[in-house]
Amino acid sequence: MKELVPDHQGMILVLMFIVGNTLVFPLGGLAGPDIWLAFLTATVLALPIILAMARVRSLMQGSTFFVGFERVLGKWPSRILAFLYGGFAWRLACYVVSDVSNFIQTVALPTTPPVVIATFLALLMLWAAKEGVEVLARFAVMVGKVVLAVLAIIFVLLLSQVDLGEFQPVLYNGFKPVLRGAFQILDFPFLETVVLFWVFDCFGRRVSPYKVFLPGFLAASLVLLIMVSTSLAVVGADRYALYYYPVWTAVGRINVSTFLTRLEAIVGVTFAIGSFVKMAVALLAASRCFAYAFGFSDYRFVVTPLAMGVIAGSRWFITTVLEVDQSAVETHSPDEIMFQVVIPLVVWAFAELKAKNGKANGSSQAGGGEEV
Amino acid sequence: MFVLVILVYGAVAALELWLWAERPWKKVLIYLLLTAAAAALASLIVVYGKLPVPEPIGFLGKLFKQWWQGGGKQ
Amino acid sequence: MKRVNLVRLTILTLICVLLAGCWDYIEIETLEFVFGLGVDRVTPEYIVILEMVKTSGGGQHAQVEPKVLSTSSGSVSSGGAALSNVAGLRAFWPHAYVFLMSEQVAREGILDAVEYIARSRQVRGTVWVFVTKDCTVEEVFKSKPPVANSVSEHLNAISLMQENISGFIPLQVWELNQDLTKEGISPVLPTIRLVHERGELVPVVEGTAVLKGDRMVGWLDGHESDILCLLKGVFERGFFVINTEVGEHGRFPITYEIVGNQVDIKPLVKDGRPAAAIKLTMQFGVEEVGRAPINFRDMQQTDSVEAQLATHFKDRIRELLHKVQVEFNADVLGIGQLFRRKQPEAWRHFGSDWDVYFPDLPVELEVRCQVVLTGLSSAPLRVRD
Repeated sequence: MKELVPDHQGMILVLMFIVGNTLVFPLGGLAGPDIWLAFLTATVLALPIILAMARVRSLMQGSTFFVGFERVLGKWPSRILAFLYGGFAWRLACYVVSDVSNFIQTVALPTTPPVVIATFLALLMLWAAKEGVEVLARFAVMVGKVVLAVLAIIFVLLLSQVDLGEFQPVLYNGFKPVLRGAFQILDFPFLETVVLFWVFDCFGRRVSPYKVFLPGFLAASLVLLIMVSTSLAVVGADRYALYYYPVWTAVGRINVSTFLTRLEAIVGVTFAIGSFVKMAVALLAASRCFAYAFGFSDYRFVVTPLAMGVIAGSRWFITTVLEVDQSAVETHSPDEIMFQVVIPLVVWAFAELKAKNGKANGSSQAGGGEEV
Repeated sequence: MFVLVILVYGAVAALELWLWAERPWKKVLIYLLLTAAAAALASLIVVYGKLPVPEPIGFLGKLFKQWWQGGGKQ
Repeated sequence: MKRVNLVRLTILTLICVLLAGCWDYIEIETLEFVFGLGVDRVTPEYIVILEMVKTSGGGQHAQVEPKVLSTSSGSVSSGGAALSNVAGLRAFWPHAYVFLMSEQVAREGILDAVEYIARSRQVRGTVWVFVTKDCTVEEVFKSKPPVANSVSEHLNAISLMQENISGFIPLQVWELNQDLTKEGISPVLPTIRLVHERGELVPVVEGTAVLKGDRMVGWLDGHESDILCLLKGVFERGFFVINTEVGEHGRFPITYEIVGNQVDIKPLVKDGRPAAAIKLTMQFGVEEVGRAPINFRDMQQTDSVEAQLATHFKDRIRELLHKVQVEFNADVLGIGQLFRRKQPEAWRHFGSDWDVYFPDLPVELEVRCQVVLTGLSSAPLRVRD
């Protein structure tokens, strides 16, 4: 059963996945007033890895994901990798659920236990993941319009509160803070895109992976750059990194002649919708990876146990808003570098080698597994 | 609480298994394994509160920190 | 098909059962809205005062009656929470309008008092902050505004009308928060006084408390605050009665209203020392000329008025600058911050000794005034001889 996602829907899915739960956090706070430079740097640094992923997907054009992947890496290596990435994606789902449930607890429902919220989210994403990537992509397109429209409106309303002087002086403390801010942004959310690599089952054409990943990523980067810079210019460069939820705080300042105020709730809803897309995608990726690792092509039967695990996991990796903040702001943890940078590049190198050999030996593809 | 968690996980698993059209034993086994793992995690968290998170490649992190002196400081 | 329906039914039922009992639901009857919050004293114990409002009735006939409660406590938040006990209702913070501090608190450092407001997730960042002058917070909350139901609403209304009332610069918690964090700027807070009006005490907002760090160092009166408004680029439509020389006829009090003001402050480095250049442009409307025989169609007279206005404001600005530079040594205009932004290299050099440089910072001043409106008439009222 092939699940085919049209290019433009895939692009929106990538966009929503990256923008999703990230918006409210103090992304790249270490860069201070040079945050826009940090974003540009991070975008440039992330591009090679995004391109490598797209290239690998492009090389297995035509076949469904795991068939293609086995052709590139061989049976057992790809199963092991799938198992590892299943764990990574599952952990990401837990993180996102934690983020949302803690956010809701902090700003809206102080006495509701986060696990109650987590349970509802788990139920919802269970449903979404069972529907599959096609439905998710269509859903992303639908809510994407809403989310982007809300962000556009908020951006316009925030403009009245913006102080461009906050971006000055440029590079007061040199380039090092910019670099550190860029690494923050790379780690979360830019390179979490690797999870999406495992989600799409197959693409329409050979160029499709590029058309999905590249514009999706660049658009997300642009959206985040605009929103984050705007809210920094509103709350002040010195305060930006100190807030847990700077965008939320910034939007609280919006005041259109005392009649249009208290718009934070809209940000909250946007955040919740975006996060929902992200956690559903992560759960879907985890299910696909685990099912494949155990040798099944149909993944739907593992969704429920994994989703139930997420309820527990969301109280395991992260429990309080302080830890959410830490995980969103912390950089270069080894497992993340492993999953987000090293392994994708290694896979790409293998795929490239394979493609070369494949060309040299005509169309022979047999015995691919043994070489690795 | 502990018992309740196990019961709920078990109930959900039973309900879904009952809904399956066919039940190949391999799938059922993996389903039950994963559910058991999730239930175990949940009940451990319920009982002990805060669980340590395993870091299989945590030693690499320490290595990075050594390479990048002051990486975590301003 | 049947099974799918069953699943849907189960999920729906679960959602209904679980969502219906929303965990955080609160009955509005159990709430008492906190409109205003104040701190009269920080040491040895906090004295926290709340103005709470209980609504009764509904729709168009809803009544609000304010109550002022106070307690002494170990901190602002604990005091606020303790007052729920006294009130017998749950204090609801998100509708708070104002936060008041007594002069004593401001002199000792406002951080102890405002920290909670800046951190709290219940009190919004848009709360107005004031310092009370020659009265306590409790007295202010217990005073009787002539129209508004509660003192907090009264103060909120005044703050929103700053443009037209002038004489103070309103400030919300988040702005204060920024000013306290930023390098090279001293925060200013609007002040509240009590005045007698028909036998009742009425709170008015006028003047400014100047802070250095988080400690108050001095007052500016309403007129000085007007000038400060102009220099900070805050738009205001203040009225100024200025004795104006009209040709050979002598001096007459003429009332001018500011209809536009633009300010441009440039940090400069001169002979290795910091300096600043302030360029202020103002547009005026003539509101009232009284007996002055002035005709604004006469360009000569208009030019003369504009020149007199410029001189007048120049003098007033010099006085204010002297006060903040020499008396208070508090950079209320944020010239230091401008240095940091526009001349980062110079700031790296001067920044740590800004307190030393600021009192005798040379300021070049350029004031341009323009009369753009004269009501409906260009000439004075003629009285037949």
